[in-house]
Amino acid sequence: MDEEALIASARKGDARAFNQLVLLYQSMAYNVAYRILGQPDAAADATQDAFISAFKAMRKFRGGSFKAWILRIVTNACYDQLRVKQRRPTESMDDLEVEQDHIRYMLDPAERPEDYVERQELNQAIQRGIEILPPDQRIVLVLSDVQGLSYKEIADITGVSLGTVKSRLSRGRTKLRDHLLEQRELLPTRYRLRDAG
Amino acid sequence: MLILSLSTKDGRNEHRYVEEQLSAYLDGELVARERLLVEQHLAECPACQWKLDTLRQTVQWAQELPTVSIPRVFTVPVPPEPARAPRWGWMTPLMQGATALVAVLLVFVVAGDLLLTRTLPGSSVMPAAMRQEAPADVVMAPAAPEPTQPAMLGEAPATVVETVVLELEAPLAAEVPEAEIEITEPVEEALASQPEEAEAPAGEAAEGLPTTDAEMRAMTAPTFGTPTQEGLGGGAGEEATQAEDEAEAAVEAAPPLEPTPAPLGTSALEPAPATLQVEPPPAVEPTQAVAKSATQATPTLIARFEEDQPAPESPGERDPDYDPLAVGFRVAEAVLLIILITLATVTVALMVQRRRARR
Repeated sequence: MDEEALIASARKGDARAFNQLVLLYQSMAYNVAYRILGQPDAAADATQDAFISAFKAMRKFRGGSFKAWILRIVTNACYDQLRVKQRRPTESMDDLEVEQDHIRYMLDPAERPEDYVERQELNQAIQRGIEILPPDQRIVLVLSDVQGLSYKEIADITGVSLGTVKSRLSRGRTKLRDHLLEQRELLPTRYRLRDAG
Repeated sequence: MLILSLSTKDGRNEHRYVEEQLSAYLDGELVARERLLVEQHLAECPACQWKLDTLRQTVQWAQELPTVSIPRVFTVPVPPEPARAPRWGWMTPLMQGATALVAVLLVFVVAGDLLLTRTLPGSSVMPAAMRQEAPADVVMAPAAPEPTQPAMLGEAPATVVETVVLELEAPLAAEVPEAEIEITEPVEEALASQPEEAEAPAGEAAEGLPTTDAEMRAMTAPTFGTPTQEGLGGGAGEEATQAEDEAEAAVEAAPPLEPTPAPLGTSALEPAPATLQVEPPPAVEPTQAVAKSATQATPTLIARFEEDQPAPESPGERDPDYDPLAVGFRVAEAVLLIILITLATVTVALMVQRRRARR
């Protein structure tokens, strides 16, 4: 059954059809939430909340990009999680991120162990740089650079204009670059941004 | 226009503007004129070029972030299919009503069966039937001096008479409806006055009493041997002689019964009514049961009851006893019972299914 048929069935309340869509999009949704929130548990909660909300709101889906519609709900769920996080600050989950990345990297036999370690250091630095961004910039940067969406798609998801997307992304990237420059001495040589010289 | 003015009038504003466009420039999101302005500025400004390079590197690293594996599946819970229970739910009250209706119907049919088939039929025949058997049995009763036999005679005949009345039923109802009252009463009377009355009817039976003596027959009837004599009496001459032979055999077994064969023979030769010939098979069994219980006391009885068995089986004698009303009742009861069981089973199954669906 193709995606259109699944969407049509899901709009009629068919949970099995909707779950087929979940299987198609859950990895993307979780990764977006994970990069925005930086915590596996919070990301899982946001993802689950997003899919439950999406199933309840399926009748309101008026066509168009289902992927964009789901990601809009996911980002809203991330906003909710961020608000909860602001009320109840928790400890850093950097170690868990290492574990997650570790699983992924161990599957790549081409990378040497020392390369893996260096890569992990860079990834952690980038993740920390994302987490210090304001939520609006963070979401746009993740959707653009991690998920590879176009400005138009991001504008649809976030509900802002193309100009706003462009400016938020520019400011977010600049701040992330500045963060990596600040962490330059801590990063492996090959992952150090060169000086302004 | 704004860009051109910026680039020409204010270099610092141009630098800031290009800086802001570098991100979109990397993504190819600038229109041609904006892109041209940025590229011209980058060629003249090493700082902006450095910013572009570091920004490009940052974006590349961000794009190379690994995809994390999902910790679990995020499917939503699938609710149990709600369509099924309501689909059959409407049938539950319908089936309950049908079950109740059939149950009430069955009660009425059983009540009608009890009222009509137990009271109406066979009253005229029963005395006649008794009439035939009475002499022989009456003779036998005194022949057995054992204390156990009177007791058996007192109890068993009652059931025999009842069964016979039940089985003979409708066809006989038309004959003498009044006599049925007399049937049940004599049963008890006969138990009390068995020895005295038994001898008298025996003599009368030998002479071939008319049906007006039905009451007397009924009184003597409770003694054993009813089916036997009916069968013998209803048969042809051969059966009568056979009965005589068998009676003689019984006499040999029990010497005190010697006079018995005479009345037996005469009663068998008597012009018995057609209904007499028909002996319902079920009536034989209780009689046999009684005979078996009394076997040890009187061997003559055993001989007599053994004679009884073939009599009802003789072909052509059953038809007059076939009661369509009774059979109709039985069939109706059986059919209704089957329907009731089926409906009740389906109803219970539906109710269980409904209850599960509610959970």
